[in-house]
Amino acid sequence: MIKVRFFTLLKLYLGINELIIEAKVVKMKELIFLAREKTEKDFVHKLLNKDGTLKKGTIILINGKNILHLDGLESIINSGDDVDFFPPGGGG
Amino acid sequence: MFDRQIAYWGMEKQKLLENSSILVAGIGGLGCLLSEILVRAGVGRIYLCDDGEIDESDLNRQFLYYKEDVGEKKINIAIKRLAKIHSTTEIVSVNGKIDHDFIIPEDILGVVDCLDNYESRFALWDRLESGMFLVHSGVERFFGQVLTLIKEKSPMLSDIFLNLDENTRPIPISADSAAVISSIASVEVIKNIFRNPALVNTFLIIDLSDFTFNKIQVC
Repeated sequence: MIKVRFFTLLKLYLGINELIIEAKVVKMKELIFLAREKTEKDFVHKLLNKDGTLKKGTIILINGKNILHLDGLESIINSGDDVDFFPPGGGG
Repeated sequence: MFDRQIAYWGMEKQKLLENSSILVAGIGGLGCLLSEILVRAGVGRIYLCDDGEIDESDLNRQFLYYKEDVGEKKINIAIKRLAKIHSTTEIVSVNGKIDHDFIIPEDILGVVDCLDNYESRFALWDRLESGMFLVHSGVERFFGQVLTLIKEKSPMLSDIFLNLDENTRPIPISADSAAVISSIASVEVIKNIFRNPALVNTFLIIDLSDFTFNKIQVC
């Protein structure tokens, strides 16, 4: 079981706070598409470019660690992990 | 002057405030109210840094400025207004832009990041000395985040915020959201001064669309 949480703009867009994905081991890109199967609206285009690379703007954390310090979209997520999608506020 | 808050947190903590020096980086939507709160709390010395001028579009949310101030340097007006509150707090202007050559005042306990761009935020973090705290704050539309990092103990700010997009300008922002986020950041600054911060390595994500608060621990 993997807990996926959406924050701020993504949460407002999707109308949900979190999802549970029943998987034992999955890569980040696969997790995004598994989550998409459970949401009413498509959000993949907000996270990925057309060529499948990661789009700028959203911080993605696995257990609090930025995936760009892991293996990016190839990062491994295990059952019990928490994944957070967080577009942060930039203004001051 | 501080009787009402001494009744709340006690004389010992009031002394900690009076003996502390803090740098507020950025005196815009977040820095205006936050610096006013720190002055009213009785922080002993506040360094202010901002090289910008007041624009008419700042008046919707930057609480220290009025229409007659448009075109003036923010730092000059902010110091003038804050100095009128009382004389316990020494308010010191720090000149220059926050970049990788920025000189941090030697006597500060920590800094408050009220900046409006991540390039300056990362430079500020880079210039901190070991053990100093940084209270990060950011706001946009209906949401914002507050986080405390300790230099040399916490992950680097730039590592946490990898994959940002800085191209969307100007950032949509209003007074209500800026006031909430800056007030929460001021609480965390005061907690740091009291040596009891609540958000070390922990994002507090404030979502005013439905009044939810969430925490994410970062590593």
